[in-house]
Amino acid sequence: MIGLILLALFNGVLIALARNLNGRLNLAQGPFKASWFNHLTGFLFLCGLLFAVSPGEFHFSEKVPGYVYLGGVIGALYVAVNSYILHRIGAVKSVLFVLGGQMITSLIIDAMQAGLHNLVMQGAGVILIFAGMYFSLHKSRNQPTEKTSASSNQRTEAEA
Amino acid sequence: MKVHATDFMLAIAGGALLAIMISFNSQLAGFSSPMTASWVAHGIGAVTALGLIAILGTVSKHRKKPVLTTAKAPRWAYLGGLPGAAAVAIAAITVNSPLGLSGSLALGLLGQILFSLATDKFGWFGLKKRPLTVHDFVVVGLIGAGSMLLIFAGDAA
Repeated sequence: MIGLILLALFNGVLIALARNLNGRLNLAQGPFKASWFNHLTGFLFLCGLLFAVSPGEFHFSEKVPGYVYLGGVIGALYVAVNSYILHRIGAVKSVLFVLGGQMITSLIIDAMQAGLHNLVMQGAGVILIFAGMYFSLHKSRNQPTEKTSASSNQRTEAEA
Repeated sequence: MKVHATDFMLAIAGGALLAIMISFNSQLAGFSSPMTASWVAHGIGAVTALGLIAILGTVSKHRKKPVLTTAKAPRWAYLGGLPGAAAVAIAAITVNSPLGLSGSLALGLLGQILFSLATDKFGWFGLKKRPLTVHDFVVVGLIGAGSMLLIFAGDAA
């Protein structure tokens, strides 16, 4: 069990590592080339892995609805977005804001597919995530080194 | 670097894209296997990214700030796909273990957050070094706890 727990933790490290490598490539060559190389190397790696694990098992059911293949298209955009923001807002804030968007969107997807069955926990979760995002932005506006020059933000700061 | 509201909105939108991607890819995995689905998604993603580069390459020629640049990057920066794809294979192991989907997700999140705290603090991978403050840990605690609630609320249903 300890081994499994460490493996699951390590998996998170791998995901963060992938984002950091893509983010570094984005600095040099922009978000879309970062997305291209990410998908190319991942594709080649999985080719090898699939061949090693189960050669010949590349069959797909004809019943697969076409729209699920859009996952790959969305993935290309997601990696581009993630690579672009990493160096602009830092590693921790990237993880947290992406996570917040992910959690709330998957809650909406679940609600549409199966309805909400655990309103108290889910409501509390959403409130905590929004509170964290608000607190993160609120504080960073007040830090002189990170002060923004965007006029719209100064207006919100003055109102707040 | 200046803080721009659009960067944070983009990050949230990125998370929304990630959730939709995971939903589609796991439906695809239901017809095959997680690794095969990820292989297909990576292939389609590569073609999509290449298409976007081709379109942007012609469209952005007249812009002052190009979207595509060709500065040199360290060799390791090209290998982002390796840990990403390996994560899919490892997730297939932990999700089918007593940890389940929720446990795997929660621990994965923890690993991601801890590693990101370290990358910011030590300035790894070319990131700007940034001392961690109490404020960082409060935000991590709030968003982390909220996410754990949502992950395990889905489990309890």
